[in-house]
Amino acid sequence: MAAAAAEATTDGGGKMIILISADGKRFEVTEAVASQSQLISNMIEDDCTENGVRLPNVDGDILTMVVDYCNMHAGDAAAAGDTMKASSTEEELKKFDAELVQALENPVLFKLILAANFLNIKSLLDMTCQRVADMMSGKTPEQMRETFSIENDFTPEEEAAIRQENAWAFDD
Amino acid sequence: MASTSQARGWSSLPTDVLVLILGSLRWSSHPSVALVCRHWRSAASLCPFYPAWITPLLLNTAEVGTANIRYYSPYYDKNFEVDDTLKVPGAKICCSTGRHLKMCADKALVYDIDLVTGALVEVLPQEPYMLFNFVVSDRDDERLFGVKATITIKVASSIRHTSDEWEGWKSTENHLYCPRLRASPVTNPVLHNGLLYLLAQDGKLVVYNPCRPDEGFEILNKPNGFGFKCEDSYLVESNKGELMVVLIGRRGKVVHVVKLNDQTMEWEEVESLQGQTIFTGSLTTMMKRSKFKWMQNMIFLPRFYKWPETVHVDLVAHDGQLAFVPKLPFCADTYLETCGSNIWSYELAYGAATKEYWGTERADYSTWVDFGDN
Repeated sequence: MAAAAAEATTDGGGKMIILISADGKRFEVTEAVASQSQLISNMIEDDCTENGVRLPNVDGDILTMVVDYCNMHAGDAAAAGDTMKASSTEEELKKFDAELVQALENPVLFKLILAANFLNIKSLLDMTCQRVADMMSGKTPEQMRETFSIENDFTPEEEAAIRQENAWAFDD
Repeated sequence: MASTSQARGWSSLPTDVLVLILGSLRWSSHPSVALVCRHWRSAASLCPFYPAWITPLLLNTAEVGTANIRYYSPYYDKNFEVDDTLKVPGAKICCSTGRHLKMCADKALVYDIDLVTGALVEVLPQEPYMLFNFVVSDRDDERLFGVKATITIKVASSIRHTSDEWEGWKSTENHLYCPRLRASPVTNPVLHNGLLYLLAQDGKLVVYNPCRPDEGFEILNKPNGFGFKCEDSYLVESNKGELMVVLIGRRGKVVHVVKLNDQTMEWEEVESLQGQTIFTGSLTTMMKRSKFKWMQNMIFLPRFYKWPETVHVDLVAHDGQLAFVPKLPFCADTYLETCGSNIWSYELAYGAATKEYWGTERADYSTWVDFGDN
């Protein structure tokens, strides 16, 4: 049944691919949309998308966002049941991206980065990494640990050594 | 199904993702990232760099236009060599303003090179041309002055239209005839309170008001002289807006710093730099406040006891901040701070011992540049 769905085609004639999330949710997208992921693009080339593409690292809610993003950025986005216009202007895209990335809660942003990295979608990875860089910018190590709930696993000696290596940044 | 990454959260971001994030951060944030946790530190150590903005650097080259540009950092006591050249063979290095360097070549051609992009702009030659002894630009690098100071003193100026275009030179009709006045050849004129000051070897000052170009240059009656014998004198405007001169005796045996008292119009000796650092010995002299204690009150000259170690690098800007990124695999020990320095320096303090130049080598084609004010 999956195979049948994977071979379905849209009115536009583009071949459809089924993406399957870690929790078993299925997403039907065109090859053009899916191949923004370098990982999937390689799989398409190798002809191994017949039975759907299982993505055991990506949860359904994250994959929903990734698919939305790819639909929006595919240029000829033609996702069924989607209210988005077929051809988005550059301005609309920018607005979409900015809203997407600004609205993300910390844990979701984290998962989205892992997904973009795993699926190898460069533009989405760049955008989400930029968001993290903006969150880090101007913060002290303590503030960064707080923002990202990270525990300090250095010994005092290690910490002193790092400060010494970068004495130009810490010397006063 | 959740991967271990997800379980351990942000501290476990894949290394290549962390490297990507570091690429969008200012260089000055990297040390803080390295201090967050071990994993982040390991990612940061994959992006080694030397900050290029923390002190002025001595731009130097074995030959202008054909040999590569090197930047000597007094902090690291290393020469950072980039792949670029100054592009104009045989040109004279005139002055630096931030990342821009001015050079002049035959026939009064002046060039403006962006040291980061390598973009070269030619300022139109003027008719009839005069050979400039000095070329200086204002603080914002919007206005350029070319000064000829042999027998007669003449000035020409040009204004920047856009980032890559300067208008043609406009020269003053009025010039000062003073065959006996000898401008100090080693120091550029300095803009101070809107006026252009040219230093004579005997300590006299010659002034030009750019707002009144028809009046030309004027020799001031005072100050009269330094009160010290010296071989080289370097003019600079201090951070507090005072005119100062660094006087270097024969072979560096004696060093004095004087400042102009604008009430009495006499040079007065300065006993302390109040924690500032002077980078001099090139046409451009700079005075900077250094956060590094060992550099405070020091005067640096482009003379070397031993030629410093060369590191091959790329000059890379992140969000306007410049750093040297080593080309070769990096060894951690190169980070170690070396306080023992190969450059000639002098601490201006009561009773400080001077070190003679003896045995030092001068960096021939060099000038101080400052990437710090971006």
